[in-house]
Amino acid sequence: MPAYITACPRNCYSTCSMVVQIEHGRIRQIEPHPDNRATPEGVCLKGLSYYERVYSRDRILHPLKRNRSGAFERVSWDAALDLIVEHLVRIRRDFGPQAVLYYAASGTKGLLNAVGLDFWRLYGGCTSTYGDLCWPAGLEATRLTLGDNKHSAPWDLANARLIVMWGKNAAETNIHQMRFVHSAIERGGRLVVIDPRRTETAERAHLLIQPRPGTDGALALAIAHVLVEKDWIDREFIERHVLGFSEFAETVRRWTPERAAGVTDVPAVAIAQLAEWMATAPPVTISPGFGMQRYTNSGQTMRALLSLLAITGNIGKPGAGWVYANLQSHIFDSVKDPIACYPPEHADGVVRVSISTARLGRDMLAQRDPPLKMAWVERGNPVTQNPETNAVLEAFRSLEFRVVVDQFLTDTAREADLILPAKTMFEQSDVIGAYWHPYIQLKQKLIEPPGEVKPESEVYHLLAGRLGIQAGELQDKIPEASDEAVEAYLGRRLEPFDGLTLERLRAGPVLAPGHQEIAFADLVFPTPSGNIELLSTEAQDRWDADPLPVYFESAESVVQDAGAGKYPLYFMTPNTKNRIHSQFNNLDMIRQLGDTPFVAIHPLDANPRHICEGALVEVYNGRGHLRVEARLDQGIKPGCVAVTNGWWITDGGTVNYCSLGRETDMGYGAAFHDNLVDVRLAT
Amino acid sequence: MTRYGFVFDQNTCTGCQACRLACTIENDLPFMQSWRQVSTFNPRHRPGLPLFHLSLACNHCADAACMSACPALAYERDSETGTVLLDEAKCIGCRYCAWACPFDAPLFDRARGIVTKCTFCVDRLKRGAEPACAAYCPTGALRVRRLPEEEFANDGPGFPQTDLRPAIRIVPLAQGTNAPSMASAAPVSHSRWTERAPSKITLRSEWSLVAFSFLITVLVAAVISASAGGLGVGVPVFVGTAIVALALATAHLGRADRAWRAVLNVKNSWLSREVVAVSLFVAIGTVYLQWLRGNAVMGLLASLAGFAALVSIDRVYRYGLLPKGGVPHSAGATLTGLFLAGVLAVNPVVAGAVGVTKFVLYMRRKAASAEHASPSRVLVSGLRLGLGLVAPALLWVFPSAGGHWVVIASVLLGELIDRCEFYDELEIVTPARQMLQDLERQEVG
Repeated sequence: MPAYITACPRNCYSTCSMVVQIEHGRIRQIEPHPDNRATPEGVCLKGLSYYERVYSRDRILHPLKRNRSGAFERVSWDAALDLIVEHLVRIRRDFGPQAVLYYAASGTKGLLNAVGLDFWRLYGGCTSTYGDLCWPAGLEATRLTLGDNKHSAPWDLANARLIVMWGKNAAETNIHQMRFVHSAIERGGRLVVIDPRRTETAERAHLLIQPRPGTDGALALAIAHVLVEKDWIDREFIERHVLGFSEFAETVRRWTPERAAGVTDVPAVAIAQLAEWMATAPPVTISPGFGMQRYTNSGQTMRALLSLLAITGNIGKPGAGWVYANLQSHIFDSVKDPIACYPPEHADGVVRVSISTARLGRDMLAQRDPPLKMAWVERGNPVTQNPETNAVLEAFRSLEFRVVVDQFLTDTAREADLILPAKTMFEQSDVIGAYWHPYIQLKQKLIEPPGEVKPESEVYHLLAGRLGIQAGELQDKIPEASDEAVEAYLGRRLEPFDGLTLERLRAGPVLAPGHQEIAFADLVFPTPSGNIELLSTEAQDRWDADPLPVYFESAESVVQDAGAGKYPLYFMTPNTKNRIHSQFNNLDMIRQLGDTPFVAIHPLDANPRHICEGALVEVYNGRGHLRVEARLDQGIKPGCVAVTNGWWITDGGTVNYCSLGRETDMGYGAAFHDNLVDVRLAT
Repeated sequence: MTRYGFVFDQNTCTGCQACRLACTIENDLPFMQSWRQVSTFNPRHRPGLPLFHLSLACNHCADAACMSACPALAYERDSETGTVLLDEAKCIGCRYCAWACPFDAPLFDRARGIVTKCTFCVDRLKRGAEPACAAYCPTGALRVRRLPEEEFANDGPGFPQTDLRPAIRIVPLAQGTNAPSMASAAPVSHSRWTERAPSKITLRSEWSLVAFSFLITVLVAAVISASAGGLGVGVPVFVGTAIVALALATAHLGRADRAWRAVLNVKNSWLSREVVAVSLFVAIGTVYLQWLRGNAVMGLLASLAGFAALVSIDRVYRYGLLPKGGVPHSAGATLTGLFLAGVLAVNPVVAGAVGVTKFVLYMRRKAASAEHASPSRVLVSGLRLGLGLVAPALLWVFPSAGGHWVVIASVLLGELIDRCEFYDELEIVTPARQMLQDLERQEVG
């Protein structure tokens, strides 16, 4: 059987390299690629399930138009394109091009994604979003502190003597990282997990610390307090590379473990224990997750966590560091995240970047001059995945015309007037980076798109022709349909990088040019001061934040008056190994695992509510509710309940019925984990 | 002497189930099926106890229970790799191998009417590649290696202990990282829910076997009674009932067209022996009742064949787990056959002695599970005892006109209830069940 290399372009840490066997023009087997040192053993269960996904009976293979009775019916591409152009021309004439919302999310990585915005510019403009649902508060905290978002190669984690998985459940969201965690443990290293849930990652941990959600910053400041008090700090490193230590030491003086215990609900002895391990067992790596930085105070939380590494000198050394986001393979971006997802300082008058991704529904409804009339959604499922599902639904339903590009009939596609069939990763070549390992990879076209599926770039090319945009204007921006044109497009993007060619990428993953195996080993920190900044004036100037990492209660907190009493439970909405957000959920191969929507609740919270195992319950607050089964779990912290993110409404309801569209304190992230609810028996 | 086997590391398995999907893909199984199953110990996080997983398919045991249990000789061993293979063209779909295997490896494919199971990816193995489940494990927790016999150690919790010599080595959890010490752990909650493992044998699914075994028991009792000069049975009723019973047993097979294969493994399989013994009994019984009713030797021969049939019916269930106090079971075919024979032959000594034995066995079992008894169960027990034992005894002591027929009907109903209870109680060892059992034991310990 012929075998070809490719790489998985999902929004996932692992971004696995794959070897795909093709039999009679069909995908037969998906194997790991041993040359990717981060993912050599095996792709995850979702990667394997492409075997079904590509050929799924539920896949959308033709343009579908909503008919008068509300059902979808198959239409020809000609009819679909004519319909789109009719609306585009009318809306541009009557309201201006900015009445069209272009919404693209993280469903697929690749350089060709840039074609979308280039098309809308040629159309005359559009409205688009700023910010991001995923990670910007942490990115911004890292940028402010270290100057750049990069970390050591994944395999360096095996050199750590203490690993702190802070709010990260790698066993489910970055399974390949667990190999390095296990080898660090085998070599005598320690694993500490900080998470209100007893996660799969915590099972082999030496210590599981379960703080009250949103209080991780206070926990970090108390650890810093112990480190400073006991003089367990690296004075030489601080003197040379850290800005603002004395001011920082002054603020943490108040954060005694006893005080922090009252705030975080973590025993003072556990705080002292972790501080001691950090001091006595270097090198230390902290690997924070994304969930923890989706609170209204989380930019400051992440800065507080970073300070622990700075004052103990755990940066720039093997086995040490901050494993958050490694953007070393993002070489094609002229401006990197998080700056790339900020609204431009000066509007260009063409693309109106006026909608916060975090507040998508409300901001869409609030647009004036012109108000929104049409939306084009690709690579995303905002109805279930953005905060405040009910507001998002209201906003989409208020439009005149909706186009959704997808492979399946997602909850967002169900809202469309016109659905365009989307390619899978095997049906068009592209070049992708990653955000955990440092490889550039070719996501290779291996099979022809089934049915009438057309890649987005081809759709845009056809639309441009119908809109009368001259071929000359498309050059370099929107490639023609042919494989050669696509490869030429990618080749031009690779040109600036020595030795980086499609031919080379076809042989396997390539380390990003200029990659640092041990991040910051040169001790160069591109911050304004050139030092690690515990004291950041930019934090103050840009975000109106305290220049030091300080702790304040998140907006929805059971100890504050607002919300307390009425909705007493923290609603955690973590990701599961069975999905990437809402992707993969619909496949039989995933359903064979028997996962169903349920809320994990501690018996101490279940008993007073008369909730027993298996009962149908309602998770609710003032914004919405969802109905799921109750599962009694003694591993979750009392006062917290959890439903995994990504269930389709047709499965029982998205967790975002209960979340609020609200931004993080930094980075224009979505603070949708600030989310208090209650649970009751469903009637 | 080495052989291929799985090496499974409980420290590094995260329960991701990629092995399970790899199996589905490699073997072209329907998307909802896999030959590999992952079970989890302590899934609800009881504090102080570890959570870990066990990824199991067929362990290609050196002394494979499926192989000796299969009545149709559908199993064979690949000599080169030691793989236990099921020839799907020979399988009759009786599912007896699934009862015999404590690892839940043989799985019944309802659509095709046959059992299917892990092949150890024997073609991959022969070309030097690991089976798919091991080759695609993202953490390297599952491997396939050639190991000497003494390295197949697998006595950890959750793994059913047998003398089958399964080809798997389980690397147990390391000390120190077996269960996280939890800062700010909540007090252990004493409110308990009972986690239950799915039942592999249910009354609903096995009703045809209940009917088969009960009807044969009644016929054996009738023949014994007749040969002892008691109440017998007419040939048309005997033959008619036997045909119904055998038809029900055949209908239970996934592939009734291959039913003839069921007699091929008399050497090892109690199921084959049962089929042969029951057939012999029906044949000899018919000859006896039709032509040689007065012949004492023939009567003895028919009775002995019937007795052998009942013993083999009971032996078929040797793999089953019964509740505490359930062995021997009051609804055993041999015991019931003797009791019914005593009742039919109006022999107070036999009926009384066996009846009392049954009563004692029944009460012992019920007493052992009294704390879990639900009102409906108590009602069933009352009916069973009342109809099957108390009412007949009373009627015997205070005889009335036509009382014997009432006694017989009442006894039959009572015994049928007990036989149904037997099937309802019968369980098969599975890794999932073993996990729960060991979890309860660890928590108590």
